[in-house]
Amino acid sequence: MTSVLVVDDVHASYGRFDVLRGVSLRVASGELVAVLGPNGAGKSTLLKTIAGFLAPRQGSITLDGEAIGGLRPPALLRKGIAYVMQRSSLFPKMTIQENLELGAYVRETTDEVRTDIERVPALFPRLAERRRQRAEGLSGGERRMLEIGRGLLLRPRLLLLDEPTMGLAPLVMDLIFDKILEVRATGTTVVMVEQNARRALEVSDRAYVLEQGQTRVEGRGEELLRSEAVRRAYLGAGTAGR
Amino acid sequence: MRGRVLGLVLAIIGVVALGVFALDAQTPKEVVVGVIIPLTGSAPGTGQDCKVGAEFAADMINGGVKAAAGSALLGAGWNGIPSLGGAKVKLVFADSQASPEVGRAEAERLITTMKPSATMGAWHSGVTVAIAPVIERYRIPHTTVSTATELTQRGFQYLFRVGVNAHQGGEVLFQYLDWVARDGKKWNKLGQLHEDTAAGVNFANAIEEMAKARGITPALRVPYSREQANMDSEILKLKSAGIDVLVQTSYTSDGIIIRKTMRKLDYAPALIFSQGGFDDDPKFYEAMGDDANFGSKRQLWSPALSTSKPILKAINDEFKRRNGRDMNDNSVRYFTNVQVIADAINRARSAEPSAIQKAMVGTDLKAEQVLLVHGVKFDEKHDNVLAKAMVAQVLDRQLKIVFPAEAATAKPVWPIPAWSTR
Amino acid sequence: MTLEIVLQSVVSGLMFGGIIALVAVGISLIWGVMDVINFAYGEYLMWAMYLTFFLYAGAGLDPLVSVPVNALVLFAAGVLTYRLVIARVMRGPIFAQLLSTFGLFVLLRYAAWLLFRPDDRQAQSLVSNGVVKLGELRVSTGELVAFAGSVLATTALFWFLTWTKTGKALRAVAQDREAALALGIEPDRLYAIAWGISAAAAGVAGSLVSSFMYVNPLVGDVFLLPGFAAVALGGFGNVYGAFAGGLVIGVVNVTGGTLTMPKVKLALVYLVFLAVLFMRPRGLFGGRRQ
Repeated sequence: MTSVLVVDDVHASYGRFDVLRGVSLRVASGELVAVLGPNGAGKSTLLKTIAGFLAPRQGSITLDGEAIGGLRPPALLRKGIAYVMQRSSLFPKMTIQENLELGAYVRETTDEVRTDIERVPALFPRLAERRRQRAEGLSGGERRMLEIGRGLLLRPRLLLLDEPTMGLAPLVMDLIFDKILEVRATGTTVVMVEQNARRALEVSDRAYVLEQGQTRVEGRGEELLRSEAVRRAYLGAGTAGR
Repeated sequence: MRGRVLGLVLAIIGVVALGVFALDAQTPKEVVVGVIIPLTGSAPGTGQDCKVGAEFAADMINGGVKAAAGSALLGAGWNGIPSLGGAKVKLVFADSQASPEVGRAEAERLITTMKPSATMGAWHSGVTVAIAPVIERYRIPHTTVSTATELTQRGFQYLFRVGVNAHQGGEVLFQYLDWVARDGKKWNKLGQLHEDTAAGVNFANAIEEMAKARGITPALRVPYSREQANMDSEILKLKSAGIDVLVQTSYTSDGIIIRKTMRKLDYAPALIFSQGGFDDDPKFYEAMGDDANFGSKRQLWSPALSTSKPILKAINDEFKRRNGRDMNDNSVRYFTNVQVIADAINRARSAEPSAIQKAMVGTDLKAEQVLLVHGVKFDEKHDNVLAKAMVAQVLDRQLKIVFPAEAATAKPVWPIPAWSTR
Repeated sequence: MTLEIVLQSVVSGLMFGGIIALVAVGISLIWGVMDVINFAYGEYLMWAMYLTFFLYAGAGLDPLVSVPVNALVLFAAGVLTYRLVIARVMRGPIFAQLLSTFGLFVLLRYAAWLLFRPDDRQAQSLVSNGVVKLGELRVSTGELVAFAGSVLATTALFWFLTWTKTGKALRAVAQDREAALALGIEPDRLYAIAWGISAAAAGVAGSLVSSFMYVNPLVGDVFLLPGFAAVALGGFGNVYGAFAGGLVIGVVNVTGGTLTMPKVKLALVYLVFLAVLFMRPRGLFGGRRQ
């Protein structure tokens, strides 16, 4: 299989805190890969490092065979890595339309880009009618959709999603997962950090489980779902009442 | 025996030689006089006028002004200070930059490095007030033309005011108002517009006192800071209060802005009376053109006085030949400053500051001996009891004396014509 | 105190306020985009006035013609200031940031004092001496042109911020620096642009007032405090509010001075400033970011 992304034994720290202590994973073209694990395992930090907000102290990251460890976000965006943060990252006082336009910032403003900006709301119909509305007026689910839509404007090679369903109501969560699958269906490779492990495993092709900054488990989505050990250790909290 | 005679002769020669040198040492070749004026800053034209006025006087005292020969002017016909064997007066200048802090520092620097026998300055009342304690501390006799009342109320022994103080300067306004009233001119309200440093504040206080003493209630007093750009509220306030006799103290830049704003807002009181400042500066006339007309001021000199003092015309012509313009209040006052100092040095027969100070106390110069319209004689507070002023009005862009009648060269225009007619 | 006098004072206040508004927009842009207070802003204006004066004295250039020249030169100066000074202190504590612009203030002022002497200088313009009558109300042509120029410059800036890609990127960086970075917007580059624009605004203001104001090393003081009061009034960081705030402060200054005593007109501005800070720190138009 051709790997789009290869993370090899990456170590990264915030000041004196070593958060990633040797994480390795690989993602194939067109895959939807989930990254799971308890709080503090380093999942978000992993995405931040791939996205260029943190430089790896040790180890390597390659995209389509090209080393990208240590490059900063603007450069990575030009290589086709789009990153949707865990926290809300819309520009609150700017309109939905303007937020989308900024998603294509690193691309030359051409007709192609303009068409893309038209198309995204089609993916997210609820946003289409309210283009001129300020982003701060959106609900949690709508925000997430806009953020993902904005990320797509890059026509990214790789889409990184950090906890896309966090804090959302169950029905909205389903909506988001549906959208993520739609995105994957267009051929975009997606790496997704998720707190809701069960649902994540249900939709992804493969998954990694991180613990204390290291890769603990790796496998196909259904396998991990069925594994007793995994279920007991990691699926308890997210599965109550389902 | 021959050795002892030789030794005695040598000793005598040595003593005589020493004596000759000693005599020379006691009679200086020149007397240093310090001048602290605003050579740069908000009124550089003014500072230049004071400088050339002082230099002109020093040159006359040192024997370089033939035009003065034969006149009663003190220092005419001299060739240096007579009682000091013709020692030349040497002026050294320091720039106050129109700032009290800089003026004080410069005064101190000048005194400690140049060791002058006497000093004069600083034209801006605010600066003079700042340097007065320095002068007093170093005990250097100092003449000034600044009008700030406080300068002679703090017991300074070494400061002497040669020109009018605020009261003497303001006195002429009331005499003038009485005079025009006899001509049937009426007015309603007296108001004041003044910059807020020592010059403006002191004069405004004096005017208020004198007005009240005459039963006139000043209707409005508008102080302002010179640092601001916009005079609209000030002029609107005066216009709104119906002030028709306006007493103004301004320096050049603010004077220009004020006059322009008066024109813009169509405010023309019957009388604008200034104590001098902006309207002594050639720059004001350059900038305003015809709009400078009809303002009046307290005036201390006029070349037109030469009918009563013929020498004034000759002196003014010589000054004009050297400097390209007539003398004005500033050059005349600084000319007189130098005269007063030279006179004191001469009577003291010494270049020692303390001796000069003692002599200066007894100054008694008649009006013919100086260029100002009045003589110089100091009271116990060191004000000049003889100081008085005239009123001049700007007519055809020139200052012409309009009061008192005996010195007048033109009839006053009252009231100031409305802007729309100009 | 007639109605006519009051109306005149309002008009005069608006004219003065137009320039304060431009100054406030310049200060507010930096504050909004990067949380830095530029204490030296008045000094940039002063240097811009000197530039205008020397172009006039040396090449006979009418101050109005030097508007674009000033804008370009000051833009460069702003970018330079950012790269040499601000970029470094932004990594440090807030205190260092405040001190650095204060240090610039001192440097620029005393350099001017040393180089140019404290004399008042004034350039002359075609519009220096006229008076325009609007019914019974009167404004000098210099002020009117300055007001119009200020409105034009501010409109151009607002257009830039609203409709251009770089302008939107600037607003994005102001609202969420990290999120902007995640979209490939380089904050450092935009900060430099913001400083350039802010300084250019001072440059334009300097040219506009040169037709009726004297320049000396201290002239920055005339604009700085009213400028800050306007920024506070408009809501720190709200560029549109700053413009409106400037007009209000101009009127407070002149009309307030006329109705009470002219001597206190600056004190009135201080009062408004303090009142806003204590009672409604968000300003009249609220909002922390634009």
